[in-house]
Amino acid sequence: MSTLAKKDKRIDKVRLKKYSLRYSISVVRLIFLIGMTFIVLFPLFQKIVFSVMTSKDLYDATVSYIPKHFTTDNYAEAWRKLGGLTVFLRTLGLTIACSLLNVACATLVGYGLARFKSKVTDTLFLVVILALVLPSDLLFTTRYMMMVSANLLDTWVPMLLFSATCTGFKASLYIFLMRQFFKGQPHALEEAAYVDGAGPLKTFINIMLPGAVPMMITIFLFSFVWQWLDSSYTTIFMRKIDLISTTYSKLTFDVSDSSVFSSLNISLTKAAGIIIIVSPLVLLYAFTQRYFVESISRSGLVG
Amino acid sequence: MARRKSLEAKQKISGYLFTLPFAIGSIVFVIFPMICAVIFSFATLKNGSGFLGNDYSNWGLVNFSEIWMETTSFREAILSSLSEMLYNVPVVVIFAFFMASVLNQKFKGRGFFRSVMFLPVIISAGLILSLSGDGLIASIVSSGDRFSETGSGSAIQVTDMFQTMLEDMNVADWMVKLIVNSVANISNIVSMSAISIVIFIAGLQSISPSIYEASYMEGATKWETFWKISLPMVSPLILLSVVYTIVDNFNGSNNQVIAQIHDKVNKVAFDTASAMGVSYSLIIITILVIVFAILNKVVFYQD
Repeated sequence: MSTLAKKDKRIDKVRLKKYSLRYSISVVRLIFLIGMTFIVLFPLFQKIVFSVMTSKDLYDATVSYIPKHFTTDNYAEAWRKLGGLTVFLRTLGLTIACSLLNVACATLVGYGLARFKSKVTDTLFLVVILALVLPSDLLFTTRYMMMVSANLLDTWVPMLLFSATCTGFKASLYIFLMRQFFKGQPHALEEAAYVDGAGPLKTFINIMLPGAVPMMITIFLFSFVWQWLDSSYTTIFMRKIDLISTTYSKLTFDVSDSSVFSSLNISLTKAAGIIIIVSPLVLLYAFTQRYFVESISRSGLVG
Repeated sequence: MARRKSLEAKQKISGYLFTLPFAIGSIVFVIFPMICAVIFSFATLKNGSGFLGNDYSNWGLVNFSEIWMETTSFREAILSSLSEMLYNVPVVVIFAFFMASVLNQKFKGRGFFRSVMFLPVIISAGLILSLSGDGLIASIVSSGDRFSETGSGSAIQVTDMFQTMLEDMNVADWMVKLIVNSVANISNIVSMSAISIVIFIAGLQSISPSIYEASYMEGATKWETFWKISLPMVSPLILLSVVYTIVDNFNGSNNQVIAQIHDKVNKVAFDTASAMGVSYSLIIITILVIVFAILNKVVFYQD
């Protein structure tokens, strides 16, 4: 009897040790992750708070996060400086057009590079890697001159051309991701389709494309974000067309007034401007993020 | 036999057709500009009537001697971006790997923390970063009376105490510096490692659970499985992540060298910009080849 009780106690001790270890690990993990979440989200939170404050609130020692003088003036001012609805819709249109072209091109080329091996495709893959590594400014000079001599500067055409051929901003990364994805897919389905008499194009559209949708959404997300925020291409090829990525610099200065108060107001407007610029991206991310990890983990990046 | 060959020929042709958009784009927008950039870098360009609307004179190493010998700003930018890269890459890769192993465990709220950790892909792209440097609000918020007890002042004190503690422990100087800098730069590091975290999570998920089960049956501890299974299995991805981080560091829009080149392009100093771009690309490619050659020997490929 007594030995059994002793044994019980010892088992309890072991169990206690095991459980306490497990719980302490999960507590430490939770604290760590909350800290990381704080680091990521706090700047955004701060911007949101500042964007509805007046400069009075900034000097008020009793205000830290909840403004006493709630205002939407900053948003109105930022919206005006960014160029209003026309510029917003124009940027949206350009971004969506470029992203769709990017996705279409990357999917086609990625499939071609993954499945049809020849010397040409091998060389092309090398060029993809090269384009990924080279700084885009190296290529700007010639591209600029080409666009000048073709009289296409300050139109949408250069950006659309770059997107349609996947040579734009970070676009070779999309081809790379697509190629890795298709490489990770099993051959069996395609072979069955070939045996049944389908051609390469039909096989691609009917068999391979449905499975590639998560990856396509991921590439659309990347492309949208980078195109939306890209100022390196737009400041060279679309200098005279107002886009959010070019008008944003108007947020940072105000010619009319240079007192401390006005520069404070500028900071507040800037906070509101950032929220305006980021909100479509965060919205898009909220809808697409579940495809994001799924597609990357299925992409067979290891191969 | 003849039929089989025709199928192969068909396959080859469809391979060309699939990759056609990028094949055209890469010749027109990548290879040709690259060759032109090399040509431009050896001449002095003037707006004229020659090839691509330029007149060429002064063939030789004028531009290179200008950027490397006569002025110091380019050299300094290269050196500082190199040293930044040397420091960023190991920190980012280690942090990303650690983060991915944490986010790969099973616990409540994992989806939420994952989506938060990928958010920096969106909210810290170049443009947002350039807008976020909000010195004024930050200085008022932290220097006023409001946060004198709890604000950034005390955070600095904590870092100081931490540093003295490390120094008392006789930790080597460079390590103290590295740790303290990483702590101070944590938000930067988190945002730089977002893509690497995705890459590592994908890699960790692709390891078959049966390998772990077998090792536990043989009595391996978690520590041993980490070093003998997880690490070797994701080591190809460590290579990928290192390469990506290097490229990202060198080609990011907040890189000083890129900013200088972009500035020159904007000022229509195409010859200098090309010389800078060519030198910089050569440096990047050399570093990548060296890193690849070294790491490729350590990496474990399963098949």
